[in-house]
Amino acid sequence: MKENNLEKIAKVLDLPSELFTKGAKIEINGNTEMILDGCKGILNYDDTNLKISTGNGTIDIIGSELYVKSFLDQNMLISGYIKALELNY
Amino acid sequence: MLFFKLLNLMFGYLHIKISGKFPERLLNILSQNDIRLWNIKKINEVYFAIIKISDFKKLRHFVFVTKTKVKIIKKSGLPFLVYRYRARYGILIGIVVFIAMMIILNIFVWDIKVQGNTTISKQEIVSILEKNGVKTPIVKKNIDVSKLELSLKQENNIIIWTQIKIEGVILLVEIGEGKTPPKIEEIVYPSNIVSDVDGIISDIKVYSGAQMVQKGDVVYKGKLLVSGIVDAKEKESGMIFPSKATIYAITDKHLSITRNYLFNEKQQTGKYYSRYSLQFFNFSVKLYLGNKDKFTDFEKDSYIKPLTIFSYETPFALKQEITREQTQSEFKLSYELAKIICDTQFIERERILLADEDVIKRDVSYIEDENGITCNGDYKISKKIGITQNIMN
Repeated sequence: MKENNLEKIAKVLDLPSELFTKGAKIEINGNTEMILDGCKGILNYDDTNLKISTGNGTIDIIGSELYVKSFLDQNMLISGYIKALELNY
Repeated sequence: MLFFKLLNLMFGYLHIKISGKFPERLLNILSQNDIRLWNIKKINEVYFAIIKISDFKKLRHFVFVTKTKVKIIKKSGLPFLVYRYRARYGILIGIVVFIAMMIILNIFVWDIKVQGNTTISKQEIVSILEKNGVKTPIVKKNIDVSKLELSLKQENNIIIWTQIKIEGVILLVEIGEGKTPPKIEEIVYPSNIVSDVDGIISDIKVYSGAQMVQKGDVVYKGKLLVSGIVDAKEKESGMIFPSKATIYAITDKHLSITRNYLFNEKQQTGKYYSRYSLQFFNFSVKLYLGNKDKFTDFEKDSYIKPLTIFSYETPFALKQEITREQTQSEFKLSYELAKIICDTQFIERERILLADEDVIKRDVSYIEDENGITCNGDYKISKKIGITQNIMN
């Protein structure tokens, strides 16, 4: 994936990339909880596989007993046993 | 999270089931429109989630657009509970009465707690507070904390600082104690020292004034011991000073106890009955019928038990009045028993009488007659004597 100009400037000026990056911000606590900021929508929902759109790509979460604990305004809290993450950009 | 759970319980929430062709689309639209869903689970192509009552009302349009079906499967929270019991007025009245009682009871201070006291008793502090009009139960707004703090310090010199707080329904009094300043007895006026007892001088030390008696002299009450007029023998040219001296004298004390062989005593028969009454402030409600006493000769005892809730006193108290029947009987003691009783009473009285005395000699004798036995004690004690008298009066 190509970097846009803003991302290039941020890199040169050593600024935090999250200020200009369009993609989602992912935070994982252990392997049981994941906070996803920048979620545009659910593409596929299963208790073993969760496919989420981030606007410029998709995120595949593979695990077991997965469920969405909360979903509001592009913020998603996912619980369950997370085994793998696949980022498709 | 607990806070949100409590909020949800208070405002109520719904467990819903989402089915149809594209339920994910509904989830995405709801998220974009600030409608929060939580605990979203998918079981057999059907979604289960939780939604707030207020948000559920906004669902209709989105359900129609996404061609899905939403069904309520469970209702939880306080609004549904209230709705279920809406016809039961008793519960509502009970809740209202409970809240009203809590509010009324919170208006008063029910108890006084004292902290930091070591030498001053709680009772002393409470009595000072009572003097200032603070007697439990009292309305909180009638308590002037700063005035109370000041009066506590003024009325007891040992208290060096105080802090009074109203914590809930308790008046918390925190005090700090200092040491009592020693009393300086400085007599600045010209004075004599005279004897306050009859006795024999055993020791005399004069610091100021003219010594009028010697060791071994017999003195009586009112006799001049030390004169403030220094040259007392030549009164016309004498100079006057405040007298200071330490004088000890040997004095007599007597104690007598008589025990008669015959005596009357009231004895309880073992029969009794109790009567209860409920007290609320100055009001009393009898919990029994009739006022007549069942016994002719009786003794009454009463106990007041304050009713408490979680160790806090309420304005209610239960008063128990026990009436015990008694009869008057005459007894005759044997000589041995009378002597034992007489001895016991004598020792007890002697202990109180001579508690602070320096006893030099002790003589105890018994006198018997047909009525009883008498125990006599004669003591010689050494004690500090002398009182100051102003010469100018």
